[in-house]
Amino acid sequence: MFGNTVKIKLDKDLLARIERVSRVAGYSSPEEFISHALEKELAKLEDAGSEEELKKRLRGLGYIS
Amino acid sequence: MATLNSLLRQLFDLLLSPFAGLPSVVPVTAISVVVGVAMLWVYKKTSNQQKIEDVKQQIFASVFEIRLFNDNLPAIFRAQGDIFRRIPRYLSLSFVPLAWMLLPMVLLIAQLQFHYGYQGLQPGQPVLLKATLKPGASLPQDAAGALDVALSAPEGLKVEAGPVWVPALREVSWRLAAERPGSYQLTLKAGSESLTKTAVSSEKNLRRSPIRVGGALLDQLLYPAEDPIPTTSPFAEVKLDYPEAEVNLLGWHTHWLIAFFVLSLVAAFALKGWMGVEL
Amino acid sequence: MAGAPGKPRGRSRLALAAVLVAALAAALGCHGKKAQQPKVIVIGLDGLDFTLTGQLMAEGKLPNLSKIAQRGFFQALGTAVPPQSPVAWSNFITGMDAGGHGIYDFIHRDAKTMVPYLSTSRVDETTRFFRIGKYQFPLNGGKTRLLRQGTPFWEVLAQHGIDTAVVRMPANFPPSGKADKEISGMGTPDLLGTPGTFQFYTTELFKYYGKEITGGEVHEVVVENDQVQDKIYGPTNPYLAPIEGQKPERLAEPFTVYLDPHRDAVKLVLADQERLLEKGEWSDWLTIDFKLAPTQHLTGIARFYLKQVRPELELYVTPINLDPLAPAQPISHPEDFAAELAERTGRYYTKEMPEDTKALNAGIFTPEEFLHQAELATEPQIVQLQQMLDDYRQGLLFFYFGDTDQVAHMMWRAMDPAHPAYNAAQDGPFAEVIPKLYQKFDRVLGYVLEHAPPDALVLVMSDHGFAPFRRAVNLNSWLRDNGYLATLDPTRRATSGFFDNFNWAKTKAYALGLNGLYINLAGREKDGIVPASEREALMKELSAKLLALTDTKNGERAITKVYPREEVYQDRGHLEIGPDLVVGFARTWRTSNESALAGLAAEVFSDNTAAWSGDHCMDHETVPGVLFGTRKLARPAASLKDLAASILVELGVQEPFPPRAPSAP
Repeated sequence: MFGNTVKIKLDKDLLARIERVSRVAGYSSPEEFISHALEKELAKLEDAGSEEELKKRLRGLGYIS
Repeated sequence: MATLNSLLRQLFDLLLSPFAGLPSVVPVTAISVVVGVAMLWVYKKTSNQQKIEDVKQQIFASVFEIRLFNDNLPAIFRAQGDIFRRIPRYLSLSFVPLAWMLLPMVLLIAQLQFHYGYQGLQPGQPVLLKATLKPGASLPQDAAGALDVALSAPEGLKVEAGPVWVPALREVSWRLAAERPGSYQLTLKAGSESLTKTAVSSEKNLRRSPIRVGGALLDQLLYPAEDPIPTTSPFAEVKLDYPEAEVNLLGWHTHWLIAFFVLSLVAAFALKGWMGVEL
Repeated sequence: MAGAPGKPRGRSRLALAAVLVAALAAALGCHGKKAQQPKVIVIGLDGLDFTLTGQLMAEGKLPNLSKIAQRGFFQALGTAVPPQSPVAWSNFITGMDAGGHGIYDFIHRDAKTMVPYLSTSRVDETTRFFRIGKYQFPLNGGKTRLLRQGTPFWEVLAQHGIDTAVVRMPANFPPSGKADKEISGMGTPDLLGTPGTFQFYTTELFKYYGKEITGGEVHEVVVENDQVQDKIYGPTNPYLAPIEGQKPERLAEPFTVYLDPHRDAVKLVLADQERLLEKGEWSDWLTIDFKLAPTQHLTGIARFYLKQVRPELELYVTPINLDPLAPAQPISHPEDFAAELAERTGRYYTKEMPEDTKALNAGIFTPEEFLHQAELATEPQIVQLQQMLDDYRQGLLFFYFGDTDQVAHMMWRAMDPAHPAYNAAQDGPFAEVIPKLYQKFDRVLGYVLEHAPPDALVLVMSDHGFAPFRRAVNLNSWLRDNGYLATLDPTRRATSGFFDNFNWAKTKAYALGLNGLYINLAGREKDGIVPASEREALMKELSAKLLALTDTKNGERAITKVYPREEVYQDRGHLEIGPDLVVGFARTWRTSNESALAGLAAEVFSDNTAAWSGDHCMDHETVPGVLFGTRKLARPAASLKDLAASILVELGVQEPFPPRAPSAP
């Protein structure tokens, strides 16, 4: 939002829906909603693989706060 | 319909009361045998026994023909054609007695379902009571604009949670639990209108009504265990989620209706010779 | 089984039959059940601290334990090296130390791959599949193996015809199958295969965003038309063939939450299950049925807790537990014993350490909510103990409670004003939580004393004690700062673990687990560089330096002992699995979270500010457990590893324990 930003083209109808949903969901702006949604999607795709599962298992130990 | 249901309810409550304390397999077996006999009697009285016997003879003759001329292909085909022609005729002959039996069976099964299809509420076991409001009608609201629907439960039945109003489903629900066994009557109030609903907490095979329905004929036919909701009421239906019951037929745990069909067919076939009925 | 619960009227006949069966079995030379057996009931209270117990007894607060001590004895029980529960209970189970049973820590590593894993069990990987369309059906693997070695003492009892029931023994998953009745405890995963993963649904966006939450998942949800629709997530679907470049799909079961527009209450709908929840209410157990492939299902159970409705909806879902009525993998022996235990309680937590410490750490539970949840998890266990006591006739009954450990970990700070994160206003009200918990279990023991047969020996034991955990030590950072561990990018001072940023070519030693220090040994470690000939000298050098290590905050020594494995372990057979050095921290110090997972921090020392404020993974000499008995033992036991042999003697089995392997010299 500050510093380095780029412009992305979006379908008008899609933008209208984003504006509506982001308002309902309590985001301060559609940009905030879009960044948040993309971050979440990326997180899902980036930490792929069984290694991540294994790490989750170990971090799940109570002793590792 | 409501009057008929009310009469049938009282009749069945009375007839089944001696069995209330027994495992449900006992009354289900007894009823199956009685129904088997009754079906045979109706069959005998309402069907053309002579024609049935004739068609059956003809079908058997064709089967015999196939066995006899098993090296004669044209004869086999002809005999098979005869069988296929006569089967619809045989079925059509049993249509009349079946038609006679249909309505009494529906009424009977609907009554029995609410004696043997559900378990009573276990004391302490939570259960949901769900009341649906009629679509379209204006909602009963209090001065603050909140939904004005209330439930009063008698002593022995505790309201643990609710009301929870779900506008999307037009449904108000509560979570109840019986504190001790008993037959209870709940009272629902919507604005100035009130409605009652039964709740039974008992190990016995008593009539339990999982749904109190509106006035639609089919609903009344299928859910006769309680009087229908008056047409003036804002409630469409009231459900109490009794857990479903099973009968234990010599170690086979199954729905009572399946046991009933199996046992009544067994009884009918076992007794058809004795009653001189051609099936 | 002979001596199984029988109606009093039929017992003499049953006994006669049992005598005949036993005589016949003896004649045939096989092991039948003995008709008349001694009686030993062992209650395991994880983490019951010797000092605190003694103190509360002196104050008259533990009348039943005091009664046992008067009638019999009360002593400190030496714990394991290192004093971690899986190690300690394995010492008890096998009569051996880690050198013999091979469990050295919660966390081990595979030296060949340098991949860390949970120490007590492992799932064999599936390598061969049969593929149809998008599905794959496993042809091998998938089996979970218990990694604890050695003979459990109940196996010896069973061989001598003694009845055995072992309830929730730690480090016994999958169950050994050697007791008449057993159910696994610590080490039992949830349906996701983790020690426990809660799911939390909140409309408060960003609150947990970017925060590292362990042991749970936060799902942000949006309310539309007074409804929330989301999914409960399961493990990845093993039946779905992986697609190159795509993250494997997780199983998910949709649910809907309907919010009452005016009241703080909801209706929850999951498949055909409907529940009403008022704010602050817990649901009963709901069944979560994941569809894997045509005809294949994976089923677990979870409870829902409606924490809040407004201003933000907050809904907590417990980790998905294996259903005791139909477990997706074996948790008991015989398999229906898990269901038998549900007779009086209904479904219950089957996963290990059910107290959700992770939800408290993440700030999703308040301390009150945590304590309430811990009680929900423990109540069925107490009822199950009552059931087991009602059914008990003779032989061994072991019954375990972990609540005393888990609650102590989270609430110790409330008794420790010297703790760096102590806040009088917040912690003060909880100062009595642990003493009260000890009192609660004292009442449970009162019930045991009342309902145990009069001639039974009742033992009460713990696996270790407790101490405050005030300061954390990152051993890996210390190794780095002292030139034993090199990093690839020296500017990255902090890493989250798993050997990230380790420069193996220049690393001589590394730390992993809660007490372990390993030499990066050539020929053993994947990228080992230290020749075997230099190992011992390096270990000596490290020990000397670690013993001199002082905390930057107060100048006190953080480590009291460093144990080379060859010296500290007497038992052999699985020595090669363990760390080269076991670090014994001084009371109040412990390994940092990052160091335990082979991560780095900028500084060696840090304050422990987590809710997890009590611990015991220190020098074993500082945290002994307890042992109580209603009569003196014929063969006294000074430490955990001696206790099983003493129990065998009490049950009339005179054989040496651990049994000597036939091939041993």
